[in-house]
Amino acid sequence: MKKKIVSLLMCAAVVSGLLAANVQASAGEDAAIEGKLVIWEHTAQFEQPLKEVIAGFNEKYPNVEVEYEIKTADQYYNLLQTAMQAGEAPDLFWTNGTATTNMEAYVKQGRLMDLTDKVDFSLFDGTNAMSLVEVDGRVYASPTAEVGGRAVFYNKDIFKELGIEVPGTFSEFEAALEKINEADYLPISFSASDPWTILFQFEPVLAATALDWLNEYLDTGEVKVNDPRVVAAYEKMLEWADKGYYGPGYTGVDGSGALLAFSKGEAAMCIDGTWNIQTIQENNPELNFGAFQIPTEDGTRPFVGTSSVGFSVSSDTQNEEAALAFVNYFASLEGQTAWIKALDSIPCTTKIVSDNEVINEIAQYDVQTESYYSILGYLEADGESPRNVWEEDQTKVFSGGLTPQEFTDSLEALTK
Amino acid sequence: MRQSFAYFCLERRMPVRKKKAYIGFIAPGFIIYTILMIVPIACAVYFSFFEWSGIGPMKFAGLDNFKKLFFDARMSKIFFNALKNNIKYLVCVLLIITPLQIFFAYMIYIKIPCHKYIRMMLFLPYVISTSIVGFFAIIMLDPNIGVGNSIIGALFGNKAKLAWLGDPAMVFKIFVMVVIWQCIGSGMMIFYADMQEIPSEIIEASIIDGAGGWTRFSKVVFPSLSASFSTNITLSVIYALTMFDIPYILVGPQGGVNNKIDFVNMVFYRYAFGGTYFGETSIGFGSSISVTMFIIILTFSFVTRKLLKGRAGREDRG
Repeated sequence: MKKKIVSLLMCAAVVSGLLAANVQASAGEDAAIEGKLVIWEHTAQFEQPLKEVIAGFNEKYPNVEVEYEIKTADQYYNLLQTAMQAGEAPDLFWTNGTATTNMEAYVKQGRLMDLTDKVDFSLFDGTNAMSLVEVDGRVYASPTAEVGGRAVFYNKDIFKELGIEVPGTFSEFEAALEKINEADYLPISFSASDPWTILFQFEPVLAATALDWLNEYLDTGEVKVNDPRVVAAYEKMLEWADKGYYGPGYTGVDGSGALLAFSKGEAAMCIDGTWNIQTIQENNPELNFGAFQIPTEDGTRPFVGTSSVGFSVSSDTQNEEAALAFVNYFASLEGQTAWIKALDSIPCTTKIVSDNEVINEIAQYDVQTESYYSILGYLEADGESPRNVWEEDQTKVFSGGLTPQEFTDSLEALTK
Repeated sequence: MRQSFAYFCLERRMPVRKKKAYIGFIAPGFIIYTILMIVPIACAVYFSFFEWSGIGPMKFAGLDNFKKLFFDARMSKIFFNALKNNIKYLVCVLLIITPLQIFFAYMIYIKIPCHKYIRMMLFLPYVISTSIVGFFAIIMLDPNIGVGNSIIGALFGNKAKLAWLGDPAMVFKIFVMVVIWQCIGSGMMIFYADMQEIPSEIIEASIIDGAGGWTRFSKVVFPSLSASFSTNITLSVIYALTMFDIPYILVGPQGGVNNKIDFVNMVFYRYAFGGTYFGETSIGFGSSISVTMFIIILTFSFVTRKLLKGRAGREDRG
């Protein structure tokens, strides 16, 4: 009996020892990766999501010290390129993927690590997120699960006070603008001094007024970017400006000012990117606001949404193992859940569910369609890029420097 | 004996030592200046003949970058518009800002009431960073949330609100006012320092001779400002032709509404380092802009120097 007890105790000791060793090994596997990583992000809107991802990553990899730097968008590529030239590129950094030419240029220069077989991107299966991070069939960045969309944010209190319902047709939307204007509220807080803020309003207006033009592109891959329907969408915005729907000084408002005016309750609506939800809520937690898509005349609610990019890994990183561990975590369900929830944005996969009411309102659309800016990129010919000219001249359409026809003609001249 | 040894040192050895010391004193400054100034200028000239994004291989392009800058239908329009704005601002410096600096310097020199407070208030904005100046401008001038439109809205209604920096007719004027507000103090202090160097006997003599306030200023004080005038004008010309920070802070890199406050350095920034998000960089083309501006600034500085030297010469003879 004693022998049995002793042998049982010994077996238990061996088994528990093995278990302990196994647990230690798995803990050691994560703890074994150590060192320091530096990450660059291009704008402050993504600081909180990045912090959340880093916190989650550090729970799994406690010995990796992650330092992040938030740059400003207008200086980002300048700083990144200078750092690359000096041999001091950050280990991981944001680029706009294939939406601009930068990532492709860095790939050609051998500045980016090929992540194709090193990172698990299965979370993005069945989505088109990977199209933004691939060059010649190889992956050079992790996408995010965020669909960067455009939406009309509206002040529910003003709508309620004026007895306005969320519009079901484009005519109803215009009638709502008129009613708000007559009530001496600012109908739409809009910045025409920033090409990007213009784009985020122009694209939903284009989708609502010329969905057939966007469908033509999706069906054939060929359209004229100076098509009369495109020009008409710009003319519609100018008509709204003339009617005072943007307020008297909209050409002098910058992007942050437009968002702040809406956040402060001084405007009934603001048409902007869905990634601004968190900013609006932070600006004014008390603001009672919702979101909808501008409907077409037949009641279809089109949603202009584009995928977005996370981080690339520098080929010069001194800590490849930790950098790849970070990208793997970033591209995982856990990493992207943290990212999307902190950003309060729309996920491209049903595996991530948002608990934000505004997000769920935005998700009520009928069709997802293409971005005008992306189409400019897809159709660009050799030589100067129409996207560069677009960025240079977009604001002039609203300040009287160019007519919509002149502006779109100059873009068309640079396409295939 | 001692005397003869010292004499020997002075006459024979010291001249040799002096020559060596001369090289030793110059060398550090010369080397640092060459590395920090001459080499970058030489690099910019070299890069301007290449098509180069800033990383990767460089492709020799000859004079193509300069051809694009001067003759491309779109690019030349952007460049010459920006250069026109630089010159327009330079004219404002000469006709508005410099006279204002002299005026305020004289007011402080003759000790008008509260002159110390005025001096401090005029000089204070100069020590504020440009970023904060931009922030103040947004607080004052944002059409939706700015103080300016809040006052106008309260007094005259919402329809009377202004676009401020978004108004093509106003934006350049606002820019000049911001520059005056921020920069008037520096030049004013240089003129004021020069005025203080004028011997009190001369001022007293002019008073005894019956010179009034205007005559005393125009015939005694102003002619004595040639040194500070020369310094201020030269610095202002260079500052005007290299303008970047204030317009960038006020309206961003695109040069504002209809490019009304677009300056050559901002064009350089956009094309050398890329736009906001588009970000296509072209160091080769950017270098051609900076080389062109280098030549223009050199020419302006040379002409200014010649003119000021001629003026000083005439005054000396007078």
